[in-house]
Amino acid sequence: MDNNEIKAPETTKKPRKKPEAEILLDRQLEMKTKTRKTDIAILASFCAFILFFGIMFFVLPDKEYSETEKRVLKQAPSLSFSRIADDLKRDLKIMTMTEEEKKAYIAELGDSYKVFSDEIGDYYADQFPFRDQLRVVKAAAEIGMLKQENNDVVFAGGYLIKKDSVTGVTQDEDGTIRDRTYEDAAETIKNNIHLLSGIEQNLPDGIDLRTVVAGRTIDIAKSKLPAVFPYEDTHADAYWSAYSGQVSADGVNAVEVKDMLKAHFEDGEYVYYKTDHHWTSLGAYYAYCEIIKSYGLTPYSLDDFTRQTFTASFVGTTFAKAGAVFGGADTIELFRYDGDTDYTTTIINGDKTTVLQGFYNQDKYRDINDKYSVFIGSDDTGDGGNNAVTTVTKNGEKRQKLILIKDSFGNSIVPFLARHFDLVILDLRTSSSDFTSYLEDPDLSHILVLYNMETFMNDAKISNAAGRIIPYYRKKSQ
Amino acid sequence: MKYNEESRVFTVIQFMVFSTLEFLFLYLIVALGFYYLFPRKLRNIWLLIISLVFYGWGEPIYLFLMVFTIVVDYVCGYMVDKFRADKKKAKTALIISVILNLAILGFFKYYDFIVGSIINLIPGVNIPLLGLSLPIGISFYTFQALSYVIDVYRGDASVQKRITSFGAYVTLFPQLIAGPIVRYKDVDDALNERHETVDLFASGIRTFMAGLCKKILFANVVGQLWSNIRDVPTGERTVVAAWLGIIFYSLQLYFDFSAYSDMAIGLGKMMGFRFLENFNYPYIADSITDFWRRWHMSLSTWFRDNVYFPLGGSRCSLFKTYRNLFIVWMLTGIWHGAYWNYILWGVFYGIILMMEKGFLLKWLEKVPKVIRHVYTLLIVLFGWLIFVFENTSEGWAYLKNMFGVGASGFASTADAYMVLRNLIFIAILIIACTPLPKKLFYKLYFNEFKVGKVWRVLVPVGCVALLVVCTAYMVDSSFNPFLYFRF
Repeated sequence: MDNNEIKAPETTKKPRKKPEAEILLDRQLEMKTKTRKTDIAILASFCAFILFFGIMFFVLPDKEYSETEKRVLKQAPSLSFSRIADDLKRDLKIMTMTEEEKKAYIAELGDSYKVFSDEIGDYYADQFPFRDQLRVVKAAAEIGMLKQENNDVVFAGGYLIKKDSVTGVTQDEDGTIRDRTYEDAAETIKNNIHLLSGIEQNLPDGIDLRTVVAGRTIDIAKSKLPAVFPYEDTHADAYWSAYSGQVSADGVNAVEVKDMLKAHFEDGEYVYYKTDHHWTSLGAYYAYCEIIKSYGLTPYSLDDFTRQTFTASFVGTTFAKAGAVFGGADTIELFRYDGDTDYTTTIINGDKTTVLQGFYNQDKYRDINDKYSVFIGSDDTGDGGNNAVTTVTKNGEKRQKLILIKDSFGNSIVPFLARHFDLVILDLRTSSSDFTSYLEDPDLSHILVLYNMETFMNDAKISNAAGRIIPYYRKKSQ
Repeated sequence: MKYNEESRVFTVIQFMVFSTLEFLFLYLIVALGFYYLFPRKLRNIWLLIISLVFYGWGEPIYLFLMVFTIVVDYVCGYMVDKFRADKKKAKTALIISVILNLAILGFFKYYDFIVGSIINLIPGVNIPLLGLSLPIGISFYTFQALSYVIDVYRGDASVQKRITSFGAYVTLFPQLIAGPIVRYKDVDDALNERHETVDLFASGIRTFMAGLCKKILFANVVGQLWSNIRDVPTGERTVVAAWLGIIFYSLQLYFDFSAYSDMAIGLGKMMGFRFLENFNYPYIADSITDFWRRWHMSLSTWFRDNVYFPLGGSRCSLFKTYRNLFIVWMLTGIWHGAYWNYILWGVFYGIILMMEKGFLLKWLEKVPKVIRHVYTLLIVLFGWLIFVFENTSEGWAYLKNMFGVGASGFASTADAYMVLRNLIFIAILIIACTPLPKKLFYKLYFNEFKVGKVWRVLVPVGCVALLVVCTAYMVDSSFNPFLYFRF
């Protein structure tokens, strides 16, 4: 043991100065008789905790869909020897690539590129026992620390306001995939307007195309935001100036509803939900008035409707993101009128069809979290109200026909528009199948494009509309 | 899901992190459960198996490399011991081990860096870059494996006859991926015979919990603040944001790194090991010399024992002392990563430490305490600035930003909003950098507050409460907006 020729004398001479933590541990171990009971309690509670959740995870059945969060949950990834072998092969291949090759290869694999451990992690988080309750705990902790936000949703005077609405990824010319930025979103807005202008120019006389882009909660409830708030950084104004700039440049026929609803909001009217990103039925009514007036028609007045409360305990999509609600739940009202059950709403999603007398699927959605789907909601609750095709007719009466190309904001405006027109309602996000047969209807007089800004800047699928409508009329005019 | 290009590319090398649900509620239960079900004899083998599973969880390929390292160092250690009488042969075995370990580390970590630098320096040279992903934890476990052969050679530790026990030491899952670097001589006895006790286990839980909270509640959250500031394009960042950003990064790095160490030490205690502490409140240091006695202690100790002292330490001529300091700090820098900024960072500290040794420490003793702390924190802050930007020109631009060059103004509403809504959080973080929380905790734990009989209940209840909060943050961080906005 005398083999320490390179060992410096310092190591043995100076005893190591113990850090605080080790001194405390020594002290604790000396006093262990006193702390023994506490130690046993700590040990027992820790083990009980991880065992409880660990076992519950296996005992509780996996859920497919989260009602609270309104999204499909991750399922258990399958594990097989062939999968392990394939993953190994893939990773070996990636290992020998340069950075550029790696990026290109992974971009090429796209969604099929999955790492088993990633999948397990996502599966655990999504299916974790008491996930909903734990999310409330987190939201409460964030609010307790006066963070004013949780998961990028601002708690603003009872309103839950989502700051950012850009989603999705884009591929640059050099092949790199990246998150879309607000500039990309503004570009999408302009492109969409441009496409709509293209459709407008190709429509024959007698068919009127109008575009409505509704505001998001942040556009409407701006006054509720905290006094110190970087509104600039949400780029809300940039989106709207991109929108109105392009509308006037292309001369698109657009109906303004955002500022109108904002004014109503600031007057204290309940035009947007607090916990959901949609407008309320009242908000939809005001928008309907503007649209009908722009057609030169007279809208029905508020007195022509009976307001029926469908639910007073609605918590919607922004709640789902924020994890908690501190301004109370929302009320969904149905604007009823005499004879509204004489209307027939036919909902077609692929080969599934739902027929409603009237516009509301009240029985199906009364006990479901996703209550906004009461508006033209199909019987298949997973689909909600975003049906591929919905038609509305009135008692076999023959009326002018309006094609409504919309996102979910359109669902709650249907009962109003139906008083004036027979409707064909298309959700291009749900289905990309051919809808040109509806254009053949000789009664077709209006096409109304109605989105909210969030969809409009992300995935409004306007190009699908343009790709169907423009060639159809071009061919016809030849 | 936010698309993170970087993470996508590097997820190829995945590993299990302590602060995930699957670690806490699946792996840990299985690992600890069977550990205590098995008789003592089999525990090291179980540790080896479960550690290999841990390492190979996301990336099984590099397991082969790991096994190779274990075999090489086991054989070398054995040879060193066998030829103890013949110094030459013992030394040969030691040198083989050192060369092989450093060669593997060098190849995987530095090949591209060196070749890339050569290509940059000498135009026309055509050597292919390999683009190999770095095997996770290689810098940590290589140093551990090396320390075994060196400790045996020096006679500080006895040879480990069982390859499974040696394998368990190298792969020990608690500190495998992020340290602390455990010296063989510190766990020599525990590896062969250790006594798992209730007290140590409970202490392990407390340490682990401290780490879990630091990681999930502090580091991840403050890290988000930093990355928000970092992602702002240069030219749009204000002076205040730039300063806050680097402060946030300093906090993130400390809480993240010390959290891993705490969790590792805690897990070790749960299985009867007593690892040495790795961090000792570095941000309360009053000089850089002091800072480095408190930051990543296991690394500084490793370099001190295995590089600085063998070179002669400070017990030689002044020139040699400074040379030794310089070498050690340059190596420390390189150890952190194969980029120029890490070397720069190491040299930066080397120079400051030389200055402190030369004259600064004497000056510092005369000035008020506050100034000493401000001085230390500022140096550390600028150190992290060098450390965080692997692209040095980006770091330079950020530095200029901090002094108003290329900034978009002094402060903005966004800065005010960020500070206001994180005021309590930041205050908590600053307090958590000091020994105060731990002192208060132990006062409670030893019942020095005299709160009556409740004190026995308070600690375990608090432990469960923190577990609930940590679990909540783990569950919700997974929130996946891309999927959610179907409509």
